[in-house]
Amino acid sequence: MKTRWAGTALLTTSALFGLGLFFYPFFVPAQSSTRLLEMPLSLTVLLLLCLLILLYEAQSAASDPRLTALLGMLVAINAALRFAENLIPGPGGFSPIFFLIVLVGYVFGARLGFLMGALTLLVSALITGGVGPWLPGQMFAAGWVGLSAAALRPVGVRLSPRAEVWLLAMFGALWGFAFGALMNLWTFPFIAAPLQTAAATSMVDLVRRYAAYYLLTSLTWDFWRALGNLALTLALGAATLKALRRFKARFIWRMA
Amino acid sequence: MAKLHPLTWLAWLCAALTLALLTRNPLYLLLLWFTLLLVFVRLPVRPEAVLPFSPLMFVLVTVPLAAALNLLLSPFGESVLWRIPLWQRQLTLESLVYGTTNGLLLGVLFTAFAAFNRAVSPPALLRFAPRAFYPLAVITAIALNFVPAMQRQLQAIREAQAIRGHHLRGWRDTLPLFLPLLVGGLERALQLAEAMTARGFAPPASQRRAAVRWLLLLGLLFWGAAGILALVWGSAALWLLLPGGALALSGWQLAGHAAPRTAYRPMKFSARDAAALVGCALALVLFVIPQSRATLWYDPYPLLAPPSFEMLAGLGILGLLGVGMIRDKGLGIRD
Repeated sequence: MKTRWAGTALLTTSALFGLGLFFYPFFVPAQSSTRLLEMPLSLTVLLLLCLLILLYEAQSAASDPRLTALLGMLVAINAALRFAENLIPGPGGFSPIFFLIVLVGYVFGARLGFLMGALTLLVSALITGGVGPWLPGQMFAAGWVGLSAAALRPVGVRLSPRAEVWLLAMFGALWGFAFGALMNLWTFPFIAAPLQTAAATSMVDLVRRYAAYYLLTSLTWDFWRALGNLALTLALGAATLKALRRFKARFIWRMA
Repeated sequence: MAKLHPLTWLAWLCAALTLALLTRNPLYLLLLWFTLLLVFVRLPVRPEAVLPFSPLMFVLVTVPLAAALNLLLSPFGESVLWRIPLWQRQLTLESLVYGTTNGLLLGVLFTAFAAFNRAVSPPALLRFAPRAFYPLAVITAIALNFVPAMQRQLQAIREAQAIRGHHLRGWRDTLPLFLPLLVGGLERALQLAEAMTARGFAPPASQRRAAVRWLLLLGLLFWGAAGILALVWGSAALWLLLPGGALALSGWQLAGHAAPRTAYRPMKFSARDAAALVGCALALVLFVIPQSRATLWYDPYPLLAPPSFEMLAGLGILGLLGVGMIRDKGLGIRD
């Protein structure tokens, strides 16, 4: 019982702490320039460590050959979908991966949802040679998509099947924007927000500047991702939910 | 280029990223970018890891974009280039230089990873996953191995559906393609799980899981305290990250003991690796000595002045060429 409590506390703390780290550009205090240099480096390392803690804790959910194989295969399917541009074409930031991450998190729970999101991004980056400084942030944000989808379950199971799919579709659409907004925070300090320099800026000014940066560079791009998530969930959600639930009963069983 | 140990490449990447993130001096960043680009072009191309754009293309797009955005969004600086009457904004030379420097920094980060991606293959990297992350490494290995199979299956489903007269007109038409792929993949996962069980695959023992969790939780609390105190005391409080890191590492060490593992044909460090690592260490040392440290930061505000350059720091950057200068019959990394 104590172990389970510690596990939940670890998962929650690291997930929230890591999410908070994304917002560091708004909170960096004014200080001497040479000290300031250490901030982005320290916080990038911290985000990576936080992601590792989350991955360590979440992997306990897949400590069974059935769930290990299930997750490996689901990640492979999702990564394959990412490369099948001809199958599900879409403009802008549209990507077919988020819809399956949301559904897996919703059906199989927060831990597997987090792993599904984070590992999909990791595997596709490894395959395409797209490992970069943005990868921990992408893995974290995609992991959050799956992790947070599990929170919908108590509400979703009470709804009619049609309303349940609509709930998941709206959730996916919301994450279409939120994923872009989170990832933009990674490039924001480098491109459009001088960290507190001689021309120091207030937090309000930084937020305003970020809003302008987001509107200029990402809103249209993210709109297509949000619309894609919505449309894919509406088109494929009901059948996929049914299939995932059927296999959940076959994968997750305990001896009486 | 010599075949190097993947961990040598990892150390090289860490050194390059540390140098990049420790400076905002455009002269150092430019030298660093050229150094990393030289290493990148000397590496053989891995066909499966061809990026959509080269580091050169990335810099050619990012630097003007960052410069233009900062020019428009940051009205600070004394050297006014142009005033926009309608917007009541002034465009300054200082904001243009600051934006260019930031774009260059992004270019340096991208080039470092591009070289690393070209040098190290995913299976080689996966071999060195820490033992504490054994289940995660297995899942990743399964996924990496099955992605090509899933792509082939998708193609087969498309052809089979096309024979039945299926045409892809809208997103709704993807259901007859996606659902067989999902169900087929999950059926295959069941067979794989049975095969793994039959071969004795077992998760690491979990007796010490509670202790590991508490150690990690304590580490997180230290990091949280460091983050909060940094808001008050500045980055001096970030030294609190070290005890937190030590706690987390000891937690993972403890977890690793529960997953004993042997390596088939273990890789060894060679003299070439040692030489490359010395180059990386030299780069870091020469970059953080007091003479260099004073020149790392460059702030064009409020009035633009030329950035200073310390020869020792420049020589330190060239230490990263260590991985590229060692000649050998083979190419890339040892597999």
